[in-house]
Amino acid sequence: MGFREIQWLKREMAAWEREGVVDAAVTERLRARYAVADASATSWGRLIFSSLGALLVGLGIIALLAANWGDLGRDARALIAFMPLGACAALVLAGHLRGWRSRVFLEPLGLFWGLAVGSGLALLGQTYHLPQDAESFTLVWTLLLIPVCYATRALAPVAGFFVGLLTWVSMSQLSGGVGLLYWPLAELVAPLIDSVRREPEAETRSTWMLWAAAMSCTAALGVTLEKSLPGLWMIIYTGAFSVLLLGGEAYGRDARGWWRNPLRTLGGGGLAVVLVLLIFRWPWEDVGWNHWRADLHHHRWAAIFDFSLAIALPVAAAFLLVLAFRRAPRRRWHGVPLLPAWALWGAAPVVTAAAYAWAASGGHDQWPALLMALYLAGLGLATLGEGLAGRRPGTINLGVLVLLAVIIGKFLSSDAEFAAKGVAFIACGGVFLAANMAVSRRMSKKGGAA
Amino acid sequence: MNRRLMLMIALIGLAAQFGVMGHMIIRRELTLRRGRVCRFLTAPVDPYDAFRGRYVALGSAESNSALCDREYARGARIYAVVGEGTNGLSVIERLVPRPDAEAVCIRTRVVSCWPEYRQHPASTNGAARRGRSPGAGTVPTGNYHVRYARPFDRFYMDEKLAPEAEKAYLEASRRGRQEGVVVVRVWRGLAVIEDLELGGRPIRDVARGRF
Repeated sequence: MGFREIQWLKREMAAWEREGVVDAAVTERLRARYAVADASATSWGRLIFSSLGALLVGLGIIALLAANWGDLGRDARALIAFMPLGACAALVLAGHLRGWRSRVFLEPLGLFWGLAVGSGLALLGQTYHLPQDAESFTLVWTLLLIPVCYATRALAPVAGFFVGLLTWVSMSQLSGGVGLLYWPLAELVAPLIDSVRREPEAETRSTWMLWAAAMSCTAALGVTLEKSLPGLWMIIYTGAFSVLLLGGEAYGRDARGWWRNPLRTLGGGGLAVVLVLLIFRWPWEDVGWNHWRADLHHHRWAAIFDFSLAIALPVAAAFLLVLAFRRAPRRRWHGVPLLPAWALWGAAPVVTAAAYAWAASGGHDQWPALLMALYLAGLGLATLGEGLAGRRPGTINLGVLVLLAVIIGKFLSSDAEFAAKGVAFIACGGVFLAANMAVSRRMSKKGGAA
Repeated sequence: MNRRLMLMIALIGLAAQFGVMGHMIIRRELTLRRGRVCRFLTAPVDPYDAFRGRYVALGSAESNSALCDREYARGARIYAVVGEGTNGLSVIERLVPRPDAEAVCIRTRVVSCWPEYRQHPASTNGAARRGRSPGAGTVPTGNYHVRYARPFDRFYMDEKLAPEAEKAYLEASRRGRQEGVVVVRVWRGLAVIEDLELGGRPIRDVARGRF
């Protein structure tokens, strides 16, 4: 539980005791229970300010190094390059000897240490007039951040690692290289994130780490695909987002709010965006084996990675779908067993693969687009229905938004007259407002939060 | 996490970081001490690199591409064989996939590679006008144009001296007398810049003289 929540709970406990909801003995036991958590909770204000201090010191050192002291000899400059790193070594030892284990010490240390490595490498580059090679510089710096991540378990080096890795892989692909090394390298920090997530008081930190990792991996997926087989990205991306969504459902069901479950949020959001794109005809044009790209810029062997993902991700999604379904509570509506809406979303790679097979086998591009539009409309209705059944306005609005996206998307790409488009938009807006009003009325009647 | 384990990880990490930086220094110091001196004609300009301070960007006086008898993948490692040119200057003679034990070689990478075409004997003037592009009237010669990354492209200087150095070079170029020469040491495929000369004098001295 976070620092703010504990403070809120303490205030509430005092009020409950005053109002006689709980007796003094229960309040005392609860206070003792949350006193432990309170002691280990991190004050984010102190943490941010101390990290800001470390950042300023680090940037100041980089600026001093960038001044390029021409009067100093090579030996002196090489020694100066090691000084920030030496300071980090001294801080690590001092922290160990004095037992400094607070996040207020370790977070700024991680930030400063990461900058110290980068500034040292940059100064050596300057001293020996190294040629411009941003790709190698970024890779070396990023790899040297790994021990910093593990030693401090801090957010800044982990976020820096994923940003650096994404920057490197983007540069590598742009210069004609193959960026598949991204995936084993990203895997090196995964055990750390998993371990931090298990720490009792590291929920916020681990959530930020997971956001950084998930966003970097999602972006890197598009960068590292070889794209030799046109259109295969559709199966891969729907598969990847389904895996994230279902992984979030299977392993993070209890996380409250969209921010605290990055896998579910990123997976659901990404899946919605990709599926909306697939209701148009342009992604289905010129896809399949007949349009295989084999020019100089494509590495034939790297295409194996694309094919592996196109098989592995839908299989992983199917596995997670079964796992998440088993863990989800069973619900019924008038005696009829209800399938959760996310389960239907998770089936997206199978539907996309079917549409892709249709388009690749020479089918007209309008039919796969229509199939995806019908599927997405079905998802919108299922989400809307789940929101209405569970009286959740957020889910209802999500369902209506998906329906609106399908209707607006299809209307915008159609040749219908402006009058027809206008009527359709007004009707959609009316449905949107009516659904919200109906739920608000129903919830206020039953005493729910409208 | 266990305190001792955290300390172990931190110490291993620090050792790796010191090791990587130390390795970078040692290789370059050995090159500067044991390497063969090569002098390349160059053409400096002065862009601004926000992260590494001021430097003189070293343009190439000669083309950084060569004709090879085999195709190379983009980004592949390649060796540039250094030979003697005129006036005691060095030139890149050819590109080879592996270092030649007898010759001075600089390790670099392939930036791009494209096939060479020649006009078909029976082709028309129209085909000749199309030049290098493949098509009717041209046939591949079996050779490839390989453009390689310049192994030395910047010379770092004091942020006040670098603009003066550029001005000095531009003025000298207008008079057509002085030449920019980058002095490089080459050892085991690694090229490290030793100095940049303008009219036979180190460019730092030339720039300082202008203040």
